[in-house]
Amino acid sequence: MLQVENLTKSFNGKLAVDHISFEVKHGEVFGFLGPNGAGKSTTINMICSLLKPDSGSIRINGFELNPDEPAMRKNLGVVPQDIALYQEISAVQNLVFWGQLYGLKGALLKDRIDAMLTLFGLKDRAKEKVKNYSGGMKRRLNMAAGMLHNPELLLLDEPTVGIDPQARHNILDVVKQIAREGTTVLYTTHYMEEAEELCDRLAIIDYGRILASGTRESITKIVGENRFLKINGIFTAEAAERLPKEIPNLALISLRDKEVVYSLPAHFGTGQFLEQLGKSGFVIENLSIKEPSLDSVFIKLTGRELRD
Amino acid sequence: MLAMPLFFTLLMGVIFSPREKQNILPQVRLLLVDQDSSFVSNMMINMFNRGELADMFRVTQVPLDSGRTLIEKDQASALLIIPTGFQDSLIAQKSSTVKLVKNPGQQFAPKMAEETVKIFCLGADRLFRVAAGPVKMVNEMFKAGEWPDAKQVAPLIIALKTLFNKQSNYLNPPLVKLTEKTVSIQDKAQPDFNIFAFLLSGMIVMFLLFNLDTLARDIYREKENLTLFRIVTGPVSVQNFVLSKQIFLFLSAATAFYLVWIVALLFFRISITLPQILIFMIFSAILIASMTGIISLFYSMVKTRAQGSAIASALIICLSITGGAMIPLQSLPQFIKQISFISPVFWGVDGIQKILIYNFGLRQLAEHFIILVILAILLNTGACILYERKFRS
Repeated sequence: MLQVENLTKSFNGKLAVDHISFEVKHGEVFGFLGPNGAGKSTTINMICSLLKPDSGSIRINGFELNPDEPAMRKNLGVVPQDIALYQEISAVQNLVFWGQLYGLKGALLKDRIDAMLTLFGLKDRAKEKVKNYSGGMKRRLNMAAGMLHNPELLLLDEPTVGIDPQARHNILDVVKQIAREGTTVLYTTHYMEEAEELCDRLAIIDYGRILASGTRESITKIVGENRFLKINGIFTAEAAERLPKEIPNLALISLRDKEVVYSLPAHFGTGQFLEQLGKSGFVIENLSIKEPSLDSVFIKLTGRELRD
Repeated sequence: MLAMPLFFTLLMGVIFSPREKQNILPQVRLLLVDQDSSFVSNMMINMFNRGELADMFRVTQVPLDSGRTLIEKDQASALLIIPTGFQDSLIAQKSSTVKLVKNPGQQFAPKMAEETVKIFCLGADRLFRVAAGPVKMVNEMFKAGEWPDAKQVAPLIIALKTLFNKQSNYLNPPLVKLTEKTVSIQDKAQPDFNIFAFLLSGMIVMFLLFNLDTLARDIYREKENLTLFRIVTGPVSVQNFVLSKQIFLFLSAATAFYLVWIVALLFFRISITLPQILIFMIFSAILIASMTGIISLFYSMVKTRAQGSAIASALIICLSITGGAMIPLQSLPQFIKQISFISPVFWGVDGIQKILIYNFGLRQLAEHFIILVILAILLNTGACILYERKFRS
């Protein structure tokens, strides 16, 4: 459905997207997992022709994306990260406008609007001005506007940022439903839980580069059975670096001022490890343990937590 | 969008539009004390109540004391006193005096009363020098209080005939003849200079620019609301989107522009013939297209709406001043007049003035048309290109 090859984009000489390649198959939910500023939105903007790539290619259904052929974007739905709606008019009026933009009219347009309002639980307040909506309602309407024309490929750019749990669940349920119905979804997020819950396959992206991609299971294999321990406290850099030499299979992932992250093999007990830390002169203020997960993969690959 | 241009048009119309009948000077309130109550004094009172003098004077007969009090209270311009025996003195060919008390608190009205009374005195003097006999006879008839019979009228007619025969050399034909004619629009060799149309031509072009400025910001509102993002990621090219915005700008500004002119033409008597209306419509459309180009190009070059609106007002005022839209070019310093042709506004304002005031046709305005058409094409195309670059970087 979507093939991206060696896509690159830089702003003022700084690489925002660095030779990334991935493929989204027909009918799957593909996750783009990474922290803010990783290059997720830039990639989405290039796929929807808003930005011109410096190099690389984007193919949709086997056809090279040409920004000068807007008809190619007719089967593409885009839900931007921020609310992209006319605030002074009602939800229905917004949907009519956006539907007409995609060539919907008459009974088809009316049916699609009804379907979207029902799907997102907005029917009761459909005639109210959007500016009077809560943040969660605006998010849902924002998504409805992107899905109104029933696109083959839906690009969702962090659609759940800053909303209440109820609206979030609604959005996630809708994504699962449309995926079941055959819509291909490219879903960007920095919430690991969402990626784990929704995505058939995903790519972990940071600083414009894809660090790992595949199914959730294949990615978590990168960290094996290891747990990740993040220690905040008082210690010397020498002590932190010496520890892996003293404990077999312990790996130092990152070391910063007052913070160190280790990958601890499954067979090595946590109590035993804490004892070792005490012997090495560590004064522990905070300790967090990450079981093998996408987050621990991200830590292993970047030395940082996803939300850092 | 419409409120300000309409408000200023109405204001300018009220101030500058030509009127059918206009009293430039205030009415003179003249108090009259008729102590003579004679045929001549009545004639004098009637004179002030007839024709144009009736428009100029409001004459009230009052007793002497009330008249003086009203003058002292500044409630009248002058007090004319016709003394007892005024008519008898005239019939007897003796000198007689009418007294005019002027209100010192007023400037022009007492002077007008004085001049009018002077003319009357001169006329009465000439009449009684020439026709004292017939006047005496008429007076006696009136004094009798009965309708005169043929015996009484016959000598009067003979006396009048003799008088006219004697004076015929002087009266017929008159040496100076006054011909009065009201000029109709069709008879005019040269069109009237309509100051309202002249000033409004400039002001409306300036309002057009301000209107376009407000409307052009819409594209940045779309950007701020991210609706622009949604539009250009849809099946609409940036060129089409920008072009639709240009057309929206043009149509909205044109609607406001023509509405204001309709108000001006209908309510404030700017006379224009049907063929000239057509020329005006075509020329205005080209003018609006070129002004749309100026504002669009400007907004395609700025970075944000705030930056645009901060600079736009200054730009519009500069263009309006140099183009003679804000202040008539004739009132501007020489160096501005010399550079005015650089301002696109000049070609618009000058063209409209020439159509409305001097009835210029298409051929006479060829230069204006060509310049504005070229500007419209170049500026709008430039704006589209720059917007495309801006929105798809």
